[in-house]
Amino acid sequence: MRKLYLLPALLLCLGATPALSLSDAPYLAPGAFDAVNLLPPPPEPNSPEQKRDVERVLQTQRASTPERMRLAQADAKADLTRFADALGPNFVPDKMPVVAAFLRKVARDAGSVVGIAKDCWERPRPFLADPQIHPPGQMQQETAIAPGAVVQNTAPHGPGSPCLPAGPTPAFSYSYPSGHSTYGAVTGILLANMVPEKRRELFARAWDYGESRVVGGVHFPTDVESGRIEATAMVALMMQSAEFRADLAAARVELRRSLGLSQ
Amino acid sequence: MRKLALAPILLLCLAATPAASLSDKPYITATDVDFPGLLPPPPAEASPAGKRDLQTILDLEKNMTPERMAAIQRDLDQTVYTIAGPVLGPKFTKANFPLVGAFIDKVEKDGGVGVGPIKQKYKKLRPFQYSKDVQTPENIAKGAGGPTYPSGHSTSGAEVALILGMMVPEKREALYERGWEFGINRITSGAAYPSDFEGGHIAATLAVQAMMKNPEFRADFDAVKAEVRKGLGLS
Repeated sequence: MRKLYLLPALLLCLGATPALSLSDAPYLAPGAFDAVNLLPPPPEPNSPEQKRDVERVLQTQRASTPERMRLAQADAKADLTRFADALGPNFVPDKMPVVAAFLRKVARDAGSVVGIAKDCWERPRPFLADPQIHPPGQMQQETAIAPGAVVQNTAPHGPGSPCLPAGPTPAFSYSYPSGHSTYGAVTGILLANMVPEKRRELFARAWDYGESRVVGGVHFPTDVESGRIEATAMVALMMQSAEFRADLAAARVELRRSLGLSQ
Repeated sequence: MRKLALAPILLLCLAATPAASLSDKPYITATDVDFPGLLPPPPAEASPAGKRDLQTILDLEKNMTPERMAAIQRDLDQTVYTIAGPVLGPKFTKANFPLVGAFIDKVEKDGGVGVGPIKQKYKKLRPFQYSKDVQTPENIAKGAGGPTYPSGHSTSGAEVALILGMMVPEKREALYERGWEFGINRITSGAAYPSDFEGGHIAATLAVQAMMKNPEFRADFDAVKAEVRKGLGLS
């Protein structure tokens, strides 16, 4: 009898608590987003567009205050805490296991698509394209591939593909599109979906997070813009997955409760 | 008898000619993609991003030449012939390639379920309406009546690059350069911000991605691709 009394209370708890386990299936299968056909090709070496891209990096770096450069260095970390300014002091990712796991899974799925796109166009980083571009040492170092490491090229090559032939493993990971900008935009779009009250602040932070890559001199503006296009198109595809929508709903419950917002 | 003898020839002709009419159903509807949830809000004019947006226009206008202004005026026409003509050559006209024009018009119209409501959601002023420093020719200012975000010109430029880039991969790079330039000309004229341009590119990509899942779009795409490649003398 005692057990039966507890049952309604238990059900109430279950109803209020989001499921801790997320779907095992990927939200986005590798190749589901047709990056090769849907992203613009990056400017070619020595083209006027490439010169404009280089010029924009130099201008952005010149116009950046030391404070803005410090923000770019802090933004090198692809981490939810980078959104704390937009969501306020109650946004503590360590205390939101569902939100953190959900957005980690989204970032992982998105990251594999970015890898395919990077391997398609094999664009060198800005600091390799123009010796006047100097990233802060640590930011440049984070784009390096360990000497001797062999990284498999994941893009579709061969007849009918716009991709370049697979080259040898580069010394620095490819520039186009920007993985950080993709991460920032995907995360910002989904946080704004969960907390529409902070939509403006979240998108501004997500876009500024991408801009940090140009400030740092580790990406061209076109890398960042294509990262945003890619992010938006990938979230549109993820939204079509029932598992994704269920996990998003669970994350929303946890996030809004933690922020003291109505469900 | 004469009529019957002609029938096989007639059938042969029909089989070889791509369907001259497009689907009368929309390629996408408002429920297919959450455009309002996915597109970023445009930056406020007084925010750092908004100020950068305006400064970019002023910098572009400083370098204005008569040739650039002539190109801007030519690009007021939003058809595929004006957008892709400089890449595909002087034969790429409505008379020679009628189907691709109707197809891109339909893509732009159906894709309007994305751009249209977002323009009304934010009702952002055009750059020349916001700042007296922006120099916009009178005819362009008169024609740009609706809200600025996202840019319809940039959306069209990207839709043409996306679709023709898949039909004519031999010219993919040049089609994207031209499609992007079409949007940049709009910025240089003071009728759109760079953030409108980016919003247009995002809207175009979302629309084309969703359309490619529609079998009717794909059937029309194949028919138009056949017209374009045959007309350009490509295999």
